[in-house]
Amino acid sequence: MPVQVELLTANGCGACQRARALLAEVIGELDDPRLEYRELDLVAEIDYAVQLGVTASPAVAVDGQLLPPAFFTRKKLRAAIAARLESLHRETHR
Amino acid sequence: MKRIGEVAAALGVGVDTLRYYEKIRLLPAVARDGAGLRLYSEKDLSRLRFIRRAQKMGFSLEEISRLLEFRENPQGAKPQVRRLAQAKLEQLEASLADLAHLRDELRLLTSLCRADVDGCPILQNIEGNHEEREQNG
Repeated sequence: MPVQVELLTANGCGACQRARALLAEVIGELDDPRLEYRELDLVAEIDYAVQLGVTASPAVAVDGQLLPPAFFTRKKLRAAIAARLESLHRETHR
Repeated sequence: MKRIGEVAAALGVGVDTLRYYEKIRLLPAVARDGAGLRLYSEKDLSRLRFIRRAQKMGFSLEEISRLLEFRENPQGAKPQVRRLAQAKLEQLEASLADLAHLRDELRLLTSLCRADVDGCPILQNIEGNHEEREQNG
């Protein structure tokens, strides 16, 4: 079962570029085939963004759960995604 | 106790509107001073605020009249008045959900990062992360 990592971005958002690079590194390090990455434009997907609870750009969601902005560090992003992979692993091997 | 002019200013309505509410019995007869001038009690003001809010929500004067009846005596209200109150409550809750979505959408759109640093409160966090990486080697 895949784990979906979503980056929600907006035009002209410098921080979004850095968030993109950071996520690419984290996903590369985790190197797990279950990870699916997609990038969404906040304005184009505004209903979904509001439903997630996004209040600013960039935003990251793991399996439809928004990560608080405080999670935007390499260590915390990695921990959050790894935790989701781990919980999925437990669910499928119960 | 407040004079009609003060009440009108506080509620943002005209004095004629206040007299009209009394005439159609949305408001019970307001007390008068020795000179015959109206004096509104805190209870009158509370009732008037309810009327104004309900009007802003698009409720008719007839509906408001019945809701005021319910407000005076909720436990003893007639079944049809209770049903009206329930229906209005559901209507308000649906409106609130719509309003909350609209607010969240506008809040998000107004907070979107612009090209400059000032427009982006999250930027600092990500820059902080770069420092963290450098420290971690």
